[in-house]
Amino acid sequence: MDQARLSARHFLGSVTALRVATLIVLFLAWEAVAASGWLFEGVVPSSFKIGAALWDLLTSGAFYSNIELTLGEAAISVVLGAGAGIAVGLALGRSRFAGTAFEPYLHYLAPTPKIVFLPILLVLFGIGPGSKIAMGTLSCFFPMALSVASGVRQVDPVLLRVGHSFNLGRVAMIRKIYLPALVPPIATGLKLGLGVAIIGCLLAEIKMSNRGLGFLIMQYYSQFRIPYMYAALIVAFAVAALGNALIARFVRLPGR
Amino acid sequence: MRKLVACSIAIILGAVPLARAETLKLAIPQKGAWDTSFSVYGDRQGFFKEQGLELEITYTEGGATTETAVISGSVDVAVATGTLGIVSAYTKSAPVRIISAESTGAADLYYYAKAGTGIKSIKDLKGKSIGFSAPGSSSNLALLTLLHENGVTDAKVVPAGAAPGTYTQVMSGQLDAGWAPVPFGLQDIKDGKIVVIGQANDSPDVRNETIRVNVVNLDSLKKNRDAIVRFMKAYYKSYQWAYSDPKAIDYLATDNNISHDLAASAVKDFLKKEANDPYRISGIQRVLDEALAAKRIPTAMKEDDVKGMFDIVWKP
Amino acid sequence: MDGARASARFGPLLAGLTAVAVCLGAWQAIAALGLVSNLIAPPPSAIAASFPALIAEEGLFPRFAQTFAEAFIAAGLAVVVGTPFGWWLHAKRWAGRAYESWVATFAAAPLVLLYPLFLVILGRNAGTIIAMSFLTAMPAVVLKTKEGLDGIRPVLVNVGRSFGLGESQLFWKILLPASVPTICNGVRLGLIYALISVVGIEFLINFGGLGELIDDLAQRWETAMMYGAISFVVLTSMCFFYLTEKLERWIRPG
Repeated sequence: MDQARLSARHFLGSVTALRVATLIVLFLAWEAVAASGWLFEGVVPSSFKIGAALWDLLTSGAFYSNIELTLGEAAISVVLGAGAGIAVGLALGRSRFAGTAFEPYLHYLAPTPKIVFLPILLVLFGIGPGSKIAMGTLSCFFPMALSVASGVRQVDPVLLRVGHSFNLGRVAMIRKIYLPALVPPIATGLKLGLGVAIIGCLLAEIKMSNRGLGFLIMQYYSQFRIPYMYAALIVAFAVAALGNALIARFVRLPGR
Repeated sequence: MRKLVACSIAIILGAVPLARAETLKLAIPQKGAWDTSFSVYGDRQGFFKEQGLELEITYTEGGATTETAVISGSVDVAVATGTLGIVSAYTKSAPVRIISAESTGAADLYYYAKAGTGIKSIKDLKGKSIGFSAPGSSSNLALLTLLHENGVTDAKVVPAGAAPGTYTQVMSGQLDAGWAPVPFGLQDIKDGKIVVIGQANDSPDVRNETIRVNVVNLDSLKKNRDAIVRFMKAYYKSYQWAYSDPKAIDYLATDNNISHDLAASAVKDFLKKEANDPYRISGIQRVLDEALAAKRIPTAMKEDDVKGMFDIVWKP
Repeated sequence: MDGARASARFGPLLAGLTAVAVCLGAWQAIAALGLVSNLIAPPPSAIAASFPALIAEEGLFPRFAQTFAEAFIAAGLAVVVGTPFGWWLHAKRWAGRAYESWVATFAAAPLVLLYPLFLVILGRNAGTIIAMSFLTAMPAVVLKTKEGLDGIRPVLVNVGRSFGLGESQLFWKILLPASVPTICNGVRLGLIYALISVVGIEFLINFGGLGELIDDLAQRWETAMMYGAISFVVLTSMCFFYLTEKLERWIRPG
């Protein structure tokens, strides 16, 4: 017992050590490049400058209303896009006919850059957050639907047979058999979908907006305040990381 | 999770202002630039309120994005959008009309090289590379004219994107020269890091061509012409104010995160008042010729063919 | 019997095509009724009519080839690097613990905004497009590879061990076949991300294939042609889908 706890602590300790070591290596590499003058320093500023910019952003109150907006847009996008993706994925995965008939088209449409549909989304949802949410939703839908559809097909047939022999109805089958077995593909779908949803919202904000994280990033870039741009990007990364952590907790991945 | 969603919905609902009869939606490209900001300055000074107008401003990345906003009716008015793009959209019967000029000539555009490279003027670009923003943009068309006028035939002109991207490529040596709009790069000029090799307005042809215009969505114009008239009244007042009150220089400095001196010299040396006169429209034939060359219109056109594109709703 | 097999095969195909035809018909009707401006959403008939000009005047086919090649190379690199990386995260528990969530975060990072950095390092060329798209495509491959390997039932591995298989035999005979469906899904996702990224960056930096063409046509308000070019992006993904299907069948035994 004590032995196990000790080795668990040892294990976690080495994971943390590895992460810290990786961060240090990345930090040193960046600093070395910044100091070397190989690359134009305007684009590779010292991380201390980025740190100062980040501090500046985080201590200014106005920054948070922008993050809140983008976060809200992305969150709604994920809920709508993932919800629709799971529903469609289940429908396609459970029926061989529907899967063969319609799934290829999802595969064909998934890689079209969604940004080209922005004009149509503008007409439908207006210039405000509505069109950004629509972009995010559209982006998030595809990875989720495809991940779930293929996940459904890989559900252990034994489980399905057991379910059928217990005469479970369609709803009960989904709740008791499919959903538990689908936790990993849904988690993957969420992880990938969250990313593209955030990117979708950011890109739409960059194209046209008056608030939000994408708006800020565009402003900093156009004024060539690169440390601030990186700082805002780091916040975007952090938001994505936080979202991933939430997802991991939400689905409680077994053994992780 | 539910809390987060509820919270976000609340935020987003809060972000959508209630529709009021006198709210005008306005698209502006290039946030913070001098002439694109007249309506922003006027709004801060209360000139639009005087006319009973509430402005709802959205910033765009420029080019077709601004045109899309106004053509789709997502905004009522777009300021500072390229005449070339509007000509192109109009000839494809887009519901859009020009209500005034915005910029005649390209006073804000200049071309530069990294200091110490020996490139000092447009003539030095023989066999060199120079970046403009995007095909058909004013930075592209003015550059071609300048090169032609200076007898440079073998320069390599490259679409290098927005000013920051171009600057990066020039400073890292991938391009020999590039473009920028003031106040971008002024500090570097002052610090001797880059040298100006030419201004777009060095060419008389460019100087007298209305390259940017203010436009309105046709439905908005039909439904509420009166509001558009009042918009132009307030806009004209804002334009006059910007060139008379030093406070405008403060706005320019703050919005661009530059010093007051730098902002002042940008206006004094580059951004001349007559260039932004909303009621000076000229060189439309030249725009049409350039539109044809850039494949923006299918066939050659004369000024008379695009008369219907203008609807000057109000004049001082 | 033959009839049944034929109907099992062509039934879904027919249903799918019917659905597509219905969607296109509805779109055509909406455009014909003037509900949406033709400049924003032109009818499918106008898009179809734009193809000759697209091919003759805008160089559609060479651009298509370029976009296809860039996306293919980027995704190929992502598979070559990402699959072993995913295996490593699976095989070494501490590595998985340390890096998996980072990889997922990386997938969500708005990498596309870093393009000025890549322009400086690699220049305005296909290299920038491929490098950025490779980085965009890789997380999906890594995550799916790990998911596939993690999902193998321990019984299988134990059986393999009891037959005295070595580590490499275990990998080739048991781990790989059992995880191929999931990994292929990852490859497919990788291709999707690579293609989105390639087109997006071509669009952003005005360089190269279909992305540049789409931007150019949008600026010129040639909306019908623009959708024509977009339909070639869809065609590219159809090619990729077909290729991955073949690949999956070829790798998976039986």
